[in-house]
Amino acid sequence: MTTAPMTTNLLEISDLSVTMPGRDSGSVKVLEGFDLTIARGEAVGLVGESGCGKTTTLLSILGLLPRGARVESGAITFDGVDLLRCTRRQLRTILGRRIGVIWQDPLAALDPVMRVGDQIAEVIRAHDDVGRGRAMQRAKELMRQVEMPDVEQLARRYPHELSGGQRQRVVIAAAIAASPELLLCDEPTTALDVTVQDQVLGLLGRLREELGVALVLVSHDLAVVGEMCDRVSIMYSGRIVEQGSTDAVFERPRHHYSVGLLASSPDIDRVGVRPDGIPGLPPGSVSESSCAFADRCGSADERCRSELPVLGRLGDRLVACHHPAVVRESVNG
Amino acid sequence: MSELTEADLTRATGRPRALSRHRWLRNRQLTFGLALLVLLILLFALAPVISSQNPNYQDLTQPLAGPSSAHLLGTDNLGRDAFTRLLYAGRIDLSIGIAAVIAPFIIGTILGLLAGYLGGWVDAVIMRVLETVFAFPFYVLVIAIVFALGSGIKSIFIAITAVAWVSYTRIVRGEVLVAKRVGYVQAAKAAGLSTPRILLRHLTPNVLTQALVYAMSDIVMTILAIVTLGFLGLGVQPPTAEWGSMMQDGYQYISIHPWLVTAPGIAVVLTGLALSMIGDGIAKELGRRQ
Repeated sequence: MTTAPMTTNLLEISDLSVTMPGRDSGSVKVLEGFDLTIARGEAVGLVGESGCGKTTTLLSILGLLPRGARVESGAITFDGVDLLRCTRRQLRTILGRRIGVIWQDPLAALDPVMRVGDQIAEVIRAHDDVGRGRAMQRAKELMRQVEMPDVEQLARRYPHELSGGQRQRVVIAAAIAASPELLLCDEPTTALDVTVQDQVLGLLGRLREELGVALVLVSHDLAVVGEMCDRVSIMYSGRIVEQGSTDAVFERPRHHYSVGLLASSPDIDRVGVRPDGIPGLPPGSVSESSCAFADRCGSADERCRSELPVLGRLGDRLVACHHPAVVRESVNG
Repeated sequence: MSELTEADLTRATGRPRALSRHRWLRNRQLTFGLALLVLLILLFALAPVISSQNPNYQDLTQPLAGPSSAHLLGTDNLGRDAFTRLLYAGRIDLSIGIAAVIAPFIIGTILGLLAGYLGGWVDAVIMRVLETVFAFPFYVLVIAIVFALGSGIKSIFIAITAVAWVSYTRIVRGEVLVAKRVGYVQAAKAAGLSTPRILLRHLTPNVLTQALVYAMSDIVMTILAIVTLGFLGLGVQPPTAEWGSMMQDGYQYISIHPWLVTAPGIAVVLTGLALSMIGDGIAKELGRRQ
């Protein structure tokens, strides 16, 4: 492990398939043939509707899949170490230390009966052999680094005594406490007020530059991903349907789901125009023999319903579609 | 034109703060329960001061004497002072009752934490044993175990511990199952904290309050069990004064000396009332805070 060659990719997920227990004894595929690579210092967005497998991907990396969920195949390699084949003990030297997590709901992610300063110091002490006082000192430095005021006072507060934005700052401080190389962000701004969202995003962007940390940003907020990420993966029903640089995918989407997704987010330049939705609902489980989006897609034909499109290179990106959208035609739907 | 007087100011600013500081005083259940318990404990603790008599001294010339200034509640069939025995019995019953709750509380809580957090076969084993114990009525199992081990304080402890842990395990396991799904346990795991640390520093403080509230009412159950065992002759052995055995000695004379059996009964009721009210009061206080 110590002599593993330094790879350019920090995290490599290849061919990951996950099943969850189904309603009656069977199991449901929630993630199928999922590939994702993240280079050092890179920010990658994972975008898709609820239930498309974004959070499952994060939980797989962390080894926190709910009971009953099974990784059927694939590998998750972090800097040469396969996380899926790690023991709990090995995993503990990576989680928190080299991978930090920023959770969606900061109130739930913090222990309600422990002072926030102690919660940050605890992460430091779990990974560094430092004394109680020194860890608390460092916790307060981290709180200043995430732009919290009155650190001496706030460190002694309990989570319910802080505002939503301050709580998320505490979660961020705990996530970066051991200077990780990768930050996993699960909808980091969804639970926050709109005004606070912007501050937290600004903070994340700044930390990314200062610490050179790589970022996986799970979100359904396209604006957030567009602002923060170098690359984006659009997920639909447990698979990646389009992957490429954020600029390319957002400006010239080729998969019809990406087209619909981008058209359904409100645009400040088109005030009064109701964003288009995508008709129908995503399917409950991953399909094997057809395009999962076929039933909701305007361009679907017989081939889409009988043959699964594979993710393949198309110019500057990867797309899984038999009839990719023609550039420029569908952007202003 | 109205001028503010000192009284107005006090009413406007001082009183709400004073009320909030002594808010627990307004929780009448808790206040009354605590007052009653303190009174009872004082009576039992100061027994040698309140009564100059020896609880075990037999004045065989005066059996079954009626209440008098020398014997407030009269004497029992062996000529012992019933009032003195009542106070000394309180010492025994209350202290065993409290002590006998501690072991099941600790054991039950630990097993509940392990079952809830680890799940899998650990949970399966603990829950199957728990269900077996739970299938028997509380008293039947306690009496059976004491009967098998032979009467005495040690047997009471073992029997109550062996039966009463199940309630704590059930309560704590349920709380852990809920807490485990909540973010902070997941977050602690993702931060690379060790399992013992998550269990001790995060889960235990969060799940303990419910078990503590239950422990208060469990003391009542335990005292009732001890008294029941005493009444059946399986409990604390004579001549030590104990409410259950006092009732057993006295109930044959209920028509001529009703106090011999009713006084220990009333003592049990008052003690149980005080403890229940404290338990309910604490539950109310915790509920208000959340």
